[in-house]
Amino acid sequence: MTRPTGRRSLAAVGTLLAALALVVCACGANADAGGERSRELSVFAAASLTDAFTQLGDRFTAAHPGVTVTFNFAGSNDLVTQLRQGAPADVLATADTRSMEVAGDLVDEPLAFAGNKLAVAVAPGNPEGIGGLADLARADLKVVLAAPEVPAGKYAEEALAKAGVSVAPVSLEVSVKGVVTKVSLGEADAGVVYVTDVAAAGEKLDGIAIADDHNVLATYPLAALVANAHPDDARAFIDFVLSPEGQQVLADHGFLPAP
Amino acid sequence: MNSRRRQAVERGTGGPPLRDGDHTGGPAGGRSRETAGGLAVVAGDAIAPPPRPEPPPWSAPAPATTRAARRGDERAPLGFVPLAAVAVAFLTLPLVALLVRAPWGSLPGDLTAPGVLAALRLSLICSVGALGLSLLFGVPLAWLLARVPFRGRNLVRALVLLPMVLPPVVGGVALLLAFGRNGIAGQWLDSLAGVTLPFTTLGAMLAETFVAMPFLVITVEAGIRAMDRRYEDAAATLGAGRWRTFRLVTLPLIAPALAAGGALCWARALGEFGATITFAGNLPGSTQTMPLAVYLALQNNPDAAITLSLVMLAISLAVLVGLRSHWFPSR
Amino acid sequence: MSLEAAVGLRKGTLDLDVRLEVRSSGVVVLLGPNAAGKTTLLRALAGLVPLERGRVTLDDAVLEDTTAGVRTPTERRPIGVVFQDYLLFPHMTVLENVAFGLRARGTGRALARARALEMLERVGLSDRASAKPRALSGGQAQRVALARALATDPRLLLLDEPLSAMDAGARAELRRGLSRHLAAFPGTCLVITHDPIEAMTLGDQLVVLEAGRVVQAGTPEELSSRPRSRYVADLLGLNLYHGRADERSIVLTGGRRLIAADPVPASGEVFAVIPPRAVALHRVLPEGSPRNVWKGVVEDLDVVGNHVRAHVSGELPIIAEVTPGAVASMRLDDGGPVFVAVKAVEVEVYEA
Repeated sequence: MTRPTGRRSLAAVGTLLAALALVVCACGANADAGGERSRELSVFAAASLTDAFTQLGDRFTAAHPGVTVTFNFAGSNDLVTQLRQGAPADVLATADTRSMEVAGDLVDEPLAFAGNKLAVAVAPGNPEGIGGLADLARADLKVVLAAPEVPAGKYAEEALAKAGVSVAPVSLEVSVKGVVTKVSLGEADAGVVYVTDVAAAGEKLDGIAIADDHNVLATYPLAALVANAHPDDARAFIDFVLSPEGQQVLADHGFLPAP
Repeated sequence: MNSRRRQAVERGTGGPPLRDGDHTGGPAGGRSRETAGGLAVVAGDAIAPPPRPEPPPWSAPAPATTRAARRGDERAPLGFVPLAAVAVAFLTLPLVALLVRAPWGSLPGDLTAPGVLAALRLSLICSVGALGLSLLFGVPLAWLLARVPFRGRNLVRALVLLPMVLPPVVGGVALLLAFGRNGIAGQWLDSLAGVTLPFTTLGAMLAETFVAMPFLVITVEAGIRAMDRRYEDAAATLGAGRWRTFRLVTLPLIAPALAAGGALCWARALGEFGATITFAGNLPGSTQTMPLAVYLALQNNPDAAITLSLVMLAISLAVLVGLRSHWFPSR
Repeated sequence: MSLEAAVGLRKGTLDLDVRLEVRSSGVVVLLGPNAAGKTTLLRALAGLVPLERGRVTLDDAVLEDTTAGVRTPTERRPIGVVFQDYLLFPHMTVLENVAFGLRARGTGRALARARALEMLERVGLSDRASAKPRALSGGQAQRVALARALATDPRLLLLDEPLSAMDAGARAELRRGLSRHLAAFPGTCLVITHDPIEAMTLGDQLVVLEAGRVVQAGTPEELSSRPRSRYVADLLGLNLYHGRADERSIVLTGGRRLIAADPVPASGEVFAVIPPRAVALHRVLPEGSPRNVWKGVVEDLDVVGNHVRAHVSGELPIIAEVTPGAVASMRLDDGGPVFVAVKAVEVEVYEA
């Protein structure tokens, strides 16, 4: 490719880099804008907790001047892998007890703080007329599940087994959010997700309830990291999550009380 | 007067021809003759041109240092060697770590685990297919971008190269919006031809083509621009039409660029993850390519993930080594 | 097989407007300074550059006609071209190169190769048939390029400085070979060259192009006896002057007078040409018959063959041909003043 505007594109790149540098510095400055140096509490939380914990974080920060809560949302397995490789964090919240077990000696005594269960996600208005898990076996439907390697996928497998339904999915997404995306974009007709995902998707998805005797109850544990930099703040955050106010926020986002 | 010419006259050898604008200085009186006798010896004789005179003064052989430099004993600018060493270390250390920490013990078991061979086969099929599609559609595009100054050419080139800088997942979402079930073009494909692309192997191949074709286009365009077009003129004067000329003259002349672009394109397609999983999904046997398999394996079985990574590494290395004569042709 | 061409086009700063007629089996040599448009004209005849206005017909077949909107693409013109750098396809063998044109026009593989081998024999290179172009010497490459161009029996052969890449030693022999091939070629030839010897020996018609226009056309004899441009005069090593004739002499631009044979054969604007061998140099004012005498200074001495050409500046710059003996005995290299003498009868005058 010719570069007739070599000098001009060099100038453009230079300007872009300068702008980026300014933005980075500004961000750094903002962090100290509060006058006194605020402590950063680093929370690793499962992806399905994104909306709920963001709100909890805002409220906690408002109630505790001097502390800012920062989040790292990802699949529970990814989070534990990062922690095992030495990523620094103060609090860990996962979407299943197995991941917390894998974290093992990295965390203090875990406490269950919320529960979740599965639902069938369909397009708004349920155009395909899906009634429950049994309908997912229909040959004319494109069904998407989470991959069994991730918690949501494992639970979906369990639920389908309990209901005695055999499904041929068109895709096994690497995260439950992938399932949400596929159904809300209309690429798939149905998927098995958490009830909290249906709540978070608002008008983009409708949720079909799954009978309790087929459903799987997921337990969400929470723990402070043993090697964490702010033990008092961590404990305060955990207490906040377990407090009536925190539990209310979780309930607003569709979570169930801890089983 | 020009002293060279004078010496030539005196010696009786041919001197450099007088050129327009060649002016001699003022009177050259006072210079002593260097050859005793000079012209007196040859006056009246026919002066035959000398058999092979020593090379004329203006073509003195290159001094020894520059000759050595051409041969490859280049002296690098200050600091280049340590900087390059850092680059090599940075790029190779992760690969070395992969080899060192590989679970050699469980390798056979990991390799024969169900799904590994399927993932490998799918990866090869999709990446080679992506290369084929890129060649079929990308080479003509590269040719047009290089040769035909159509209106909006720069814009088209920028757009066509955009997938290179787009985050792959964004590319995948964009592909869904275009070719998905409800996509702008996808809905017509579905209703008219009954063809759906998401969740199919073809879809995975197309996602890989989307991210990899620009690499081929940019490399081949550069190669076409760089070639000597007069060879194509020569072919035309010999009676070759446009297709024949392209096939027999242009293609062989751009073969190195084509090979390099093809290797880049294939490697990019092989490693693609974000666009593939977003557009085609993940289903073992039909759309689960190696990068996806590695990612999922990492969730529960990091050792298996490392093993699979080694397999990809070995294949890529084999191809790059096999193509080294194109990357670095020995002259 | 005749060529009639009227070529009008603009390319960059060049404005080409040329009318050319070559009778059957003739060889036209195209001469001119750099950037005169020679290569552009050749490329236009080959169809590689479209005409803006004009017409090209070969043997009464119209190759291009801008008013009628007819344009035969290059690949369908019955032409053969030898380019300045030969442009042998580097990835093909010599034989494949020569056979390329035949194959392109539909000849079967075996037959094309056989014919190609014949052509290579004609140029004496059949033993190099399987070599690659980069293994050839300059002279061999030129012969292969010629064989390649002739293999398809073209009716118009175009050669762009076919010998310019050669060193002097190889050139003479190659020129003789080329001359033979061109003479044997039944079609029309157009050769571009810079070299006066090539111009004189290869062509039966010379066309001189300057700044896109033909300034002179004629046989080699016509050109060498009556050059009409500085370029041709320099090429042939003649002294050329431009002026107005009056009854007894020619008044040159600048005022100087040249006395020619009485009466002056032409009138009005004229050229006067003086061959260098007719110019005598003296250290003292000569007596006797020469009617043109003036003072000058020897600026430079050139050796050409077994003569020396002295470049004399002064009232009227002129080139004189002298023997080395004369240079020595008159000490012409000392930069002092000399007298130039030219007999009136040696001044050739003709209309401009």
